Amino acid sequence: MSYALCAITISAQELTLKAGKNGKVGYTDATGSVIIKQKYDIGLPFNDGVARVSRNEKWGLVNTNGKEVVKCEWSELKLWAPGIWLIKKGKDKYGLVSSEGKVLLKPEYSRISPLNSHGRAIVTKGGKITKANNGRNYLRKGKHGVVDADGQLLVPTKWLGMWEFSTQGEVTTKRYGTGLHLTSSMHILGDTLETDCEYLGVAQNATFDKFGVIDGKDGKFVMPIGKYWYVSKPSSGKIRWWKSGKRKSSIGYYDIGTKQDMTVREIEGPLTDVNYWTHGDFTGSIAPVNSTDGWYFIDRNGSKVRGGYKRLNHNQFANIWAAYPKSGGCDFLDCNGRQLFVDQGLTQVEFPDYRFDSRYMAVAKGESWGIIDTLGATILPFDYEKTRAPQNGIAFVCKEGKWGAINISDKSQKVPCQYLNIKYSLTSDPATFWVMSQDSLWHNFVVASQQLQPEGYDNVYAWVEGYAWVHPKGMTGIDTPLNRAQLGIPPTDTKDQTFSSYVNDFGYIVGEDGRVYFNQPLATQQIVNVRNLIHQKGDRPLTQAEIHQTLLQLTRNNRSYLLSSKIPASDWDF
Amino acid sequence: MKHYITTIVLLATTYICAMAQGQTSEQQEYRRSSIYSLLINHTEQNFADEICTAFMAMPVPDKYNDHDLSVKVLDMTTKLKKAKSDKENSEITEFLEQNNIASRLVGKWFNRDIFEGTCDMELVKARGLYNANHFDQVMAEKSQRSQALLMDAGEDLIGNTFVLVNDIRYVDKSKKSQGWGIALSVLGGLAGAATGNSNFSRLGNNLATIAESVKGFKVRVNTFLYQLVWDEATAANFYTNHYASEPDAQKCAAFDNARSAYRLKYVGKVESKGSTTSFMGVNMDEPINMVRKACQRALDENVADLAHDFEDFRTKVPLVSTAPITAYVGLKEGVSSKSRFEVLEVEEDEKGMRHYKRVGVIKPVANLIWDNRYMSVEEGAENATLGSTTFKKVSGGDFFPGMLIREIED
Repeated sequence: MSYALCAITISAQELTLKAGKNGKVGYTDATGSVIIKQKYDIGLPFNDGVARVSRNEKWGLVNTNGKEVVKCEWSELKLWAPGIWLIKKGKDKYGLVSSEGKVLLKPEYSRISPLNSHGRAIVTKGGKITKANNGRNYLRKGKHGVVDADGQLLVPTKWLGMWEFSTQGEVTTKRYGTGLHLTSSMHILGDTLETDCEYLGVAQNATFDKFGVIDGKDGKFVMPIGKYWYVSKPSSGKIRWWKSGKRKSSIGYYDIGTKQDMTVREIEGPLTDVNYWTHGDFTGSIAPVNSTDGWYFIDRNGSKVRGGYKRLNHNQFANIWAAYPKSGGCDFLDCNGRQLFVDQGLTQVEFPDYRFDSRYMAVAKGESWGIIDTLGATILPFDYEKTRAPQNGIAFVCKEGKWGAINISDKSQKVPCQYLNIKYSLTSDPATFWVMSQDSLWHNFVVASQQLQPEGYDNVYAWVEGYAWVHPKGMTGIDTPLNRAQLGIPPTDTKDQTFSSYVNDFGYIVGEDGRVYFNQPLATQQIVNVRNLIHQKGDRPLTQAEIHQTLLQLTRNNRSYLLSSKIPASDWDF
Repeated sequence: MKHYITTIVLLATTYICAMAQGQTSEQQEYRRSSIYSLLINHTEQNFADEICTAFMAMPVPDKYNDHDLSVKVLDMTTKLKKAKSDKENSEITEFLEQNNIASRLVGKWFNRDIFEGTCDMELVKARGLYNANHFDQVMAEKSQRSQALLMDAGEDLIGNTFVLVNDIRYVDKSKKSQGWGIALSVLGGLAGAATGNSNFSRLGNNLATIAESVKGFKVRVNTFLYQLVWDEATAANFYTNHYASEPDAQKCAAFDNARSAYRLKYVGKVESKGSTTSFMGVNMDEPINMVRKACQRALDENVADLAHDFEDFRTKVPLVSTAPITAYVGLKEGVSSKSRFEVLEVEEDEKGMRHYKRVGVIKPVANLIWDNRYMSVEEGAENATLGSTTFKKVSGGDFFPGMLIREIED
């Protein structure tokens, strides 16, 4: 068997696998010359200049010159990140190696998870595979760390307890309020980290008893272990903390830069008795603190700057505070505590849900509502019983208990104030709105004709490309094999899955013209497919046969029948 | 017997897709047979779910039209009786008959509305490559030309509708390699977690077990071939009594009541060799591809064997070029150095009927047979990147691109 090595680098595209007469594989070039000797049991195609090869059940990497840049000594070798491979030694030791053969992490870890979308992965040393309560496995008593997408160990594997600050922490415990909090996790095998790991809570044990906060970039402490009972994610250089004692508890902030502790309040009794939001993150140079006297703002030194508020609202997009003095009215403050505009006797405010409308807010003076901008200018006068913060340039307004819609740019009344409720549209300047009529059903209101379409529905989705999914009131007869197949659930109820919980997930597709375009029960997960089909058919209502064929087509992968059976006529398309 | 053609009318050939000299077949469509493919899934065997998933992901072979119906998977909990026999399989035939498959295939040809019975000719026009306007015009005449057109469509299109019933079984004769098994089982698990591919969670741990058999993973496929019967009598009955261009309750009911009058005829059966499919080229992070590759290769092999064994099932594909002579067929279609192909010129007679006239014979050049089997490129197979097979002339005159070739008996 001849064997030739090229003196020049050959591009990977030119090399192809070739099995030799001895049954081993190697690689040849376009002329058929053997470039990489046929000595491997298995060879895989080249990818980014290297190919996985195996000999005697051990894996390695070869480059286009035939050099084993990673020797065939690993029981597993798998691509982990561009140019980085997960290697396995023996039964249970993992490491990382680059395509150039550089060992980035020695194979001494019991787990290296896949990277998450933020380019972070958890690595663990030691630990024993144990089943958690949810039936999945985790590494009990493993020590955790974090590695980045370059295979660099950012946080050494020192921590029995390692937790992320995530939205799951802001769940039900009122005292912590909004913000990101430490989330307990057993780090189930196969799961990835959730966050960018900018900061992490760590401890020498697997509980929250005594923990510190580290910088996720280098593993260094920004807050030492054991200071506090609970913390939130650092914000504006400060960490909100809580300390609980049997007789007395306290709340405050820890400054990451100065490492100074700042107690802002002491509270009688343990924190477990506290069921109100105690204090908020710094949003700039002020932070809100709750006390028996109401809310107040402190500066970064802990000094009180403004107070006497019965409640607060915060517009996260415009970073504005609406603070309601006990004496009445409403102060609008920027993130440094400066008043944005003079108090106009405003008593309530509703901020928008979306960033692009952050300039506007719905506000009340006494019992009357209007719309103002962040400079205090009146956009819609205070003529309404209620307004809602504008979305897509449309504000919903309520008069005499009935809702309508106004375009805040030209002040045109899009929908008269005649309806029990109204839904926002996903588009700007919509041609129709869903409104709730006296029958407590949602109807489509056509702006151009100012007419209400007669058909009403129990639930509706927003209009998309001229079509909306609707759920008629009292929809029955939905539990059929075909509809179960739409969801991909078993043909009969099981302990874990009953069809009744999905009943409200079925509806029809209607057009803005009021016609029903798909009049058979359609699961919400199929909406996009059917909408596309309606477009293909020229934007007309589908015939019964087309609907029938569509449902069968959508469910074909979930349906099978016994060879010996006579299949019901309803399951055939022709 | 009724005679539909009594008057000779010379038709211009403008309504047939142009086969002008110099045009390559990339610009040409050609008439293909239509197939409906079913899987017999043995739910009691290993990897039944994986095989089903792989089957459902397979496209219709590219030389055929998709004539699938709404049912694709038939389950069995035992082996198919007499699966090895070449004779017509009674269990399969009974399924096809009691579920009136033939009538449903006809219904699909005419886009028959299952509720109102209305039909149209759109699919016939499209697959027959007819000029739509001219077709409608001729049909509207209700003349003998119309009849000729229907006969043409019948013989060359509707009559070339086939049902393939694929009985797939996993064959566990591999040597188990523990090292491999462990390695790939973990990979399989990691792949599922890393890719978030829901197929993996649904398939559970089977993929891990596949890995243990990966070196010897094989499936054995028995493919049973049936052909739609579309003779003069059947066509006449349909057009007279069942075809309705407007809602017609009577015709709708008549068709439903007469479904059993439409028939399939058993043509034959082939069995794949069950050779081990190597996993060269398979992305080991997605072991399901191993199953797909094994199933796809076996099914393609059977389709090629059926085409070889049964003339009606043979495809006609156009020549891509004439210097050299090339066509988009290869190992997937069973082309070998021993294959012979006739070169056909399409002619239309005075009645408007299409005929194929042999104008020559060609054979593949031995080392220029394209390996177009599934995943041959990833596998690094020789000739996988050729793109077409090159032929040399055995007999005949000049050939032009667009002429069709069809395999002939050795």
